[in-house]
Amino acid sequence: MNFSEFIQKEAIITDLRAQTKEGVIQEMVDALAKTDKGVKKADVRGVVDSILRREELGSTGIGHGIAVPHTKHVCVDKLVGGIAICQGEGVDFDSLDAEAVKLFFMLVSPPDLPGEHLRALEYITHQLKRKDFVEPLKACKTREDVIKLLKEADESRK
Amino acid sequence: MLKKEVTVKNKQGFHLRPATMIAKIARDAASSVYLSNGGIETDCTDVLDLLSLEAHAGSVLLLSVDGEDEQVVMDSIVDLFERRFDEE
Repeated sequence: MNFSEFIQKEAIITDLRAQTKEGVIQEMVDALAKTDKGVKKADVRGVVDSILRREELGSTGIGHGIAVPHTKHVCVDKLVGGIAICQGEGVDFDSLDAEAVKLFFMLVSPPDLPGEHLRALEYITHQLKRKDFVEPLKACKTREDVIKLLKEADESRK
Repeated sequence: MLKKEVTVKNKQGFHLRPATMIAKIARDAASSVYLSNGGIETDCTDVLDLLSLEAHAGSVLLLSVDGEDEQVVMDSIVDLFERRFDEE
């Protein structure tokens, strides 16, 4: 599993506008709806609601300014993901360490492929533990910068 | 110090929600809390570290708790594993 297998390039946002948890999730799902392999426009509301329900079980703000909002939904037949970076002070995501979140990874996976979801989460975790990945990623100003960094990260795992 | 083996019983494995539930307990604890998988040990207060254990359904982990509230903390975390993190 690597980023190129699930991160949709059109769903990479480097100038996140939203300033609330709900707003972030809406903005990221809207971005996933712009991709060929992502969420269909008709399913945006359903996916947003599903992610918000998951957040009610417990925030996906895992600390260190990072959150991984996610859900399983029938509208996708393979795992798709997006990335969003907040250039400002960050968004209150009710995180474990109470810190504002500046880096978001979103995952939407089919309900019948839990293994794929877990592998993606493990891959994201592995990369996020690298300071030479997470700090440059938070500092990315353009989609192209993010794509380049993801490619380098994937190459480093080979 | 208390040590006990715990098994990941939920079908979805040791993903974000179980890791976060354990991290919350560990952060509020007055004891040090560690989980290890195949010789890799991690501090339970950090979700990323917990996910790095790459524990799947069926994985057997070693839980270690050391401190003044070690029994209460041990019981709470063991209970989470037994309840399959309330997923099933």
